[in-house]
Amino acid sequence: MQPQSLEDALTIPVQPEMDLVPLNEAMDELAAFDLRKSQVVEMRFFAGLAAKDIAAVLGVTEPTVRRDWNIARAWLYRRLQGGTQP
Amino acid sequence: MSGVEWPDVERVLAAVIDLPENERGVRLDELCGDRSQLRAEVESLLAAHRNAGAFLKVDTEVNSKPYSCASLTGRQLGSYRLLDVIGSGGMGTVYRAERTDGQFQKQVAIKVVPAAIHSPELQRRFSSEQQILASLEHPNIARLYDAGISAEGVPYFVMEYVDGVPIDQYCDSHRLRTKERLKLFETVCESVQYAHRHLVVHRDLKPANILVSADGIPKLLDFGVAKILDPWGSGLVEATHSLLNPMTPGYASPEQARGEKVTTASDIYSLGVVLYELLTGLRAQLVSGKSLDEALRIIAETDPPKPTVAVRSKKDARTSGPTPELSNELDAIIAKSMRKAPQQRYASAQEFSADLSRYLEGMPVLAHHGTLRYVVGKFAARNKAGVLAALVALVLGIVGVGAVIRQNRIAERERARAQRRFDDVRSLAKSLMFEVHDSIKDLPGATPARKLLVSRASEYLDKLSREAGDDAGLERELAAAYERLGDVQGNPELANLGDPAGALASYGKAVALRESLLKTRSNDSATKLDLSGTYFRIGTCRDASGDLSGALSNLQKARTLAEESGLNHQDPLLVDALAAAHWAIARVTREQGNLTAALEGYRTAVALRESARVTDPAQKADFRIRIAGSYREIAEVLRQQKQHAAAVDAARQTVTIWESAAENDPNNSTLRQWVGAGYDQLGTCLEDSGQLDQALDSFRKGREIFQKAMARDPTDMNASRITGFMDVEVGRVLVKRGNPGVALNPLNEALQIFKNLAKSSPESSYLNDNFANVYSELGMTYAALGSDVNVPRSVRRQDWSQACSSYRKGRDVVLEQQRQGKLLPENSGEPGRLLHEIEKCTQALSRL
Repeated sequence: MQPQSLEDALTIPVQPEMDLVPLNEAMDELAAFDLRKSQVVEMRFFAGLAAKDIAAVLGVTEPTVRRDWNIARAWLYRRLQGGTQP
Repeated sequence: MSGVEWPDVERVLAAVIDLPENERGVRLDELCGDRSQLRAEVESLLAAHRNAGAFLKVDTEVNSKPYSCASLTGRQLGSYRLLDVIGSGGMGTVYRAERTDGQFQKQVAIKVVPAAIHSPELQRRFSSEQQILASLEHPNIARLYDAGISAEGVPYFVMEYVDGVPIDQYCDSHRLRTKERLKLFETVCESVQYAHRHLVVHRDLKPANILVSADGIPKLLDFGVAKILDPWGSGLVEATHSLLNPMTPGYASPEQARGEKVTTASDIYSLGVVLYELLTGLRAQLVSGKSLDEALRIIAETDPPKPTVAVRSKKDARTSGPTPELSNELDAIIAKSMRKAPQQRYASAQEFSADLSRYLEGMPVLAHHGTLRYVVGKFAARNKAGVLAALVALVLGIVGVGAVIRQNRIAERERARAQRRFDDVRSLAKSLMFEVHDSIKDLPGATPARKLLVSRASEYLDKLSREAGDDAGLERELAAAYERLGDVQGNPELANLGDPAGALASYGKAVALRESLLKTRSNDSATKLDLSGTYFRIGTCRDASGDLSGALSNLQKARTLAEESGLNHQDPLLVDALAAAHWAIARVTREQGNLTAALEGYRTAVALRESARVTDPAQKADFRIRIAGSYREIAEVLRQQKQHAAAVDAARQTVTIWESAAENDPNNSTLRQWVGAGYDQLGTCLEDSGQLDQALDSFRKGREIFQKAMARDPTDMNASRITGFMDVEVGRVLVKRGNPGVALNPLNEALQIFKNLAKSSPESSYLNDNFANVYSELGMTYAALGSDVNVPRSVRRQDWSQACSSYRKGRDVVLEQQRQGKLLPENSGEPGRLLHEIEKCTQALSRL
């Protein structure tokens, strides 16, 4: 396994204080075509539930929750980057 | 999405997102083929995935690739070189490090925090808090030398390096006796007291943060660090975070778990948990690995077992330590430090420590044994709706609550922009009522959570009503919300909370709002139908509480409003309102004794619904269910008219329709109970027509359904009552079949159920019918037993006197009902019949 550089290991993008209103709108958009993914984000980010619990609530497996989470996060990230930056 | 379908994108992404970067290309070639737009879309999202970094991450738990800590060893951070990992926890990794600029030779500990949400706010707090922390100088508190954020944006803390082991390990490996453990703990209390005097709260006290050096000196780590890192002040994220954080779930105080203000009292609580663990070797609050609802219940309402009890029940005594010398005094001291209410704990760490000293010196301790049981309702009543929503989420783990919290969190943010306040409260009340309640209403076991929601929602609605002004939209929403509230409180047609008076009050508020709406829009059919629905609810509620004339006048208003709504007569909206009104009016007229009119009313309701033009499948199913409901009433009237064969047919119609509906909707507990009620009626009709074996079978099927409902949700009063009722049915048929001895069991069980119910709702006169019924059946059963000439005279004498007293009790109940004017017409002969039975008992006794 390759050693990670310090920067890779610790890079944390400095976000401006998260503005929840655009995020909320983006989540509504996401929910319109993929309800479950928006529910995963709601339960994870807003309610702080663990993947195991989200899986139990939605009746899917944990790997599915993780995949949903990664895809939803990527989609929301792209949506907000595109939508909020000049 | 430029001509690409999301399901395709999603499918390809799901297949490649977990693959290493260098394997994705090949797989993408396979999956996308020559669909270049699809490939471009997937690549774009993969790039977003790569760049998203910590976006939205609460911690790294959900990510499939956990954050790697080991790789930092040997790296340079500021003017320090990280030497090796000496610990890691929920908040980060701690390294041993040394200074490389030659200023000091000292070794230090550096805590590196992969902060989830990094913001200017965090930076600001760093500079203000670190000065306070650096001023803490105490021999038992590890010094904080420096704290900052590296060029890469990584928060870190430079602290005194402590060469020691966690206090619990230290106590066990040195086999400290209870007394020595208490002494060590007192030193910890003193250092906490010192920090508290400097207005620094630790917020994360646990054994891992209390190290003891080889020469026995305890040192506390991380004082105040938690506060700097709390990204939201004391918001909801912290609440769920500390509750669900896999590293330190068991040490958080109830107020921390609820996201309330954290004070010195929270540290007292955590100290109590640490002491508990030091003395018993057991965790006070076993939260890790539990399901969410268990974790919530434990933190919110469960007191840990007393240390003395916990140690006694520990299966395998620890071999590494001596048997702890515990006592009731220590139990009381720990209990006082861990009280659910902060103000009931020791006022300071010093007081806590002083009580321990008193104990060690054999003096009486201050801690009292009195405990205040904290039920969920109590603390939730004092808290914000958001916390309540989180609570419900945790209790029930349901989909949809995430949405409520999301809304709430956004609402909080919006509230800062003061002009939106009113809308926020409105949406909050709405979401609480409609989203949370609807999500849980059909779940078994949800009654306590529903009661909470009702009381909170009621307060919100009253507050909103006062501020509503002339906003018609809001008035309509409020009326609907009051109606829902009334339904939950006491709509006799739904599984309700048994509060008819509360229901009528809520319905009354809805009527007032809708009447005022109708004044300004007298031709609006929707408003008329809505108002019709509210009057309908009042009518059925009054009917259920025995006020027949009140019921009739309200139901006639409901019917008239529906007829005047101006809608087409096959319009499902109108049909629904009109059929329901006809149905309910028929029920009242039947109760008033007019069977012919009642039968006609029910048949009208069936005809209306069968002629409706329904397209929506859900509504179609609903109409079927209601048609079955009308057949049920028809069977009942036919039975009263002694048309037994026709009654059996109608009752079978009902059971068949409801049973198939329940099969299609297996989570609907209300519907399941209806099937049970259907079996009860069918049993009765069969019994009337003389088919006793079939009747018994039908009653038992029905009873089983209600008994299961009662077991699932012991607070569902309706399910309990009907289980008792069905017991009486079973008992009666058994007597008729000649098995009075067997019948006593179900009858006595029924009596007990009714008595329990009467205790919890003394005003519910509806129980009187049940009491009269069970006493009368008991009388009949004992009379049958007493008539058995094959048993000794003394036994028969007892049976007859039991029969006599049962009949008497039954007669007392019906006489009381008669006095109150609540005796049903079909039971008007009961007082006379029971008197006659009592006379027969007396005669039998005099002959024996």
